[in-house]
Amino acid sequence: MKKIRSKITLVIVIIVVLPLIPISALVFNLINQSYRMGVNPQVRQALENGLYFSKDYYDKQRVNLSQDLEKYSFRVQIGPKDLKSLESEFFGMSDTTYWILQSLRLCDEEGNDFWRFSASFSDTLAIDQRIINEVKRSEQNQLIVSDRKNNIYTAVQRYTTRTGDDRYLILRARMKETVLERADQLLQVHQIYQSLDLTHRSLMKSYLYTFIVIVMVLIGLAVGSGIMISSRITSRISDIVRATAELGRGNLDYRLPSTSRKDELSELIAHFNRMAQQLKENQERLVYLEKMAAWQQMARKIAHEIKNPLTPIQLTIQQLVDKYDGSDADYNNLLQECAVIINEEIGSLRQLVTEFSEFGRLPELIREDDNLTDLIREVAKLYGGRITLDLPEKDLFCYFDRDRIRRVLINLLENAVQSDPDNHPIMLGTKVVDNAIWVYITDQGEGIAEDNLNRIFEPYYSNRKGGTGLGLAITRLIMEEHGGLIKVESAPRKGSTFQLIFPKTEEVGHG
Amino acid sequence: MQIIPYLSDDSLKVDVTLENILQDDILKTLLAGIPLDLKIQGSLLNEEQQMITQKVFSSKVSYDVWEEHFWIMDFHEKLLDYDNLDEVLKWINTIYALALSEQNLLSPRNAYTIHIKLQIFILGKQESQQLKWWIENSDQTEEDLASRERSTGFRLNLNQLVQMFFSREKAEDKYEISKISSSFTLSDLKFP
Repeated sequence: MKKIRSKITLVIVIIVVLPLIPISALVFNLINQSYRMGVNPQVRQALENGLYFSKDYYDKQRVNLSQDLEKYSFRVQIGPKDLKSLESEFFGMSDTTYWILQSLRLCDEEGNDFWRFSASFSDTLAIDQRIINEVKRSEQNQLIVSDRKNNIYTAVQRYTTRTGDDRYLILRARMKETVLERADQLLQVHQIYQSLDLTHRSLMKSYLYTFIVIVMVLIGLAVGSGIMISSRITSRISDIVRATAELGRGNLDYRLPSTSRKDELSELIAHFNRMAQQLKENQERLVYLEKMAAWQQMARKIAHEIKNPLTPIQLTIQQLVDKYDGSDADYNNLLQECAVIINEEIGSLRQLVTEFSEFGRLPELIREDDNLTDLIREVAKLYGGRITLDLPEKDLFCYFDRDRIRRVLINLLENAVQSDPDNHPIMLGTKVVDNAIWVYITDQGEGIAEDNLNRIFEPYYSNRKGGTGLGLAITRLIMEEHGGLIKVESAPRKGSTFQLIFPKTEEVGHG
Repeated sequence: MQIIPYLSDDSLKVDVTLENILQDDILKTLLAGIPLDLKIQGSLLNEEQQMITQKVFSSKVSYDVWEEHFWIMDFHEKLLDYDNLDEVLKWINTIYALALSEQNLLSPRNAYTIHIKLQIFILGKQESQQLKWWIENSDQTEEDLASRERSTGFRLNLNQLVQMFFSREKAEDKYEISKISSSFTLSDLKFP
């Protein structure tokens, strides 16, 4: 059965795996194409162009800041010394297109302020000396130092006074946030693009591994469900194989557990159980009939052996009686008494022989479709008011030998009457169970001990004095010949119920 | 890679010269503003190739895209800045004076070799995190986010699965070369 299980599992796995092969190729191509839709030279070019324009824009803003500083430098060097008007001009024009001007100050090379216009407290702090030193070292007069992280741009312009002293005009500004953010976003995307391009192989492998994991999970599920399905099928088939083998070995009591499932295998199990039951019943019937045939043969032989000497014995006795002259009155009386006893015993033996030969030569069944209910009513009349009938409204018909079944009924009713000296009513009724006709006879007599229940249908077994033990044996034989059954339920001092089961008409077969 | 050991300031030092170490991919990454982390692991080995001492030197190279300016924190923790790429390439091609051991700890007659391993980490932690975020969230459209708000059930995020493998698989973001010098004794070495 393992082979079938493996085959079913293999088939399920193949069914799952086969489509996965082209799908895998397709998926990998799709992933690669999707990746290339985002990461390709055109996108790189577009991003680099965007960065180029951003950079250009950024440079222009710096130039703009530089020009602003130059403008203030010119005003400081040659303009009026009215700082108030310069201050109001500075704050009046601090919000430019690209910049928000924060402070303007003039200091010496040590960083000491001559004057300062500040928009916030942070801009009142001293200037980083390194910036002034950088300008001092530089050949150019102007320097812009950027702190992009904090968005602070410091532009420094150096000029020399008429007295030859160096002065430093310092302009601090913030770039407009929106411009800065957009440029940074573009740079960030460009960096991600570069990272993606760099890690192309790893990324593809990762997608492939992800797909493999999903495929493995699917295959695992397929194998799992394959094993489960095949086990469910094959375990039941294994059961049937085992049961058939048991049956083959002659174990007709072996049955398969029935399930609540409604499928072909459940039906097969039900049929198997029915077949096993029928085989068992047929075998029992066969054994019984063989046994009964042996008993019948023996009965015929005994009847023949006993019957033959009875007439010579009877004639001899009669001759002895007839020939005696009666001279001795006492002896004559004794002879007469003995002759009577011998004749009586010969009569009993003749009766026994008749029963034996009747049992030994039961006539062939003459069955026909007949009214069983009618027969039951007819037999019940023989027992007057002792019988209580329990019959359905509709008469029941079946295929039976009327005379023999009458004998069966009379046998059972006689037993019932004899077992109940208190004359309780006897129930005689019929019912239909699974299309089979059941006739039952229930008495309230002495009942039968459990140990004897198995033996009561054996020939020559009787608990009654004077009984031949053939009545129930003949009854069962007749029922078996009809293809039917006889069952008994009994409890000592509570009574017995005998059930005659006539099989369905189509199962008996006519003729 | 060329490894030149010498004695200086009572120490065994080494100069490492490299050729075209910054390949196209690495340069593109640097010029995109992604900083490079460099790590040199210098090991001094004895005749039996057993390690006597090991030193690790780190450096960082970054490029300010907007200011078009290179910043380098060199292997001696000194800040350098360059305006053009050639100067950076020149700097990286010759790495000077990596001190491996004090001279008095070494025997003049014993033979030694130096194992130099240079690693360039192209994507730093921040960039890796950014990439991870990008991969994990690459399927999140506005509609998707809205539908996820309505959903309370299980949702398989394939990108997280991809990310899991990606974190393990990533190899391109690291460049590595190594070399072992020829055997030398301290008495062989020249003073600079």
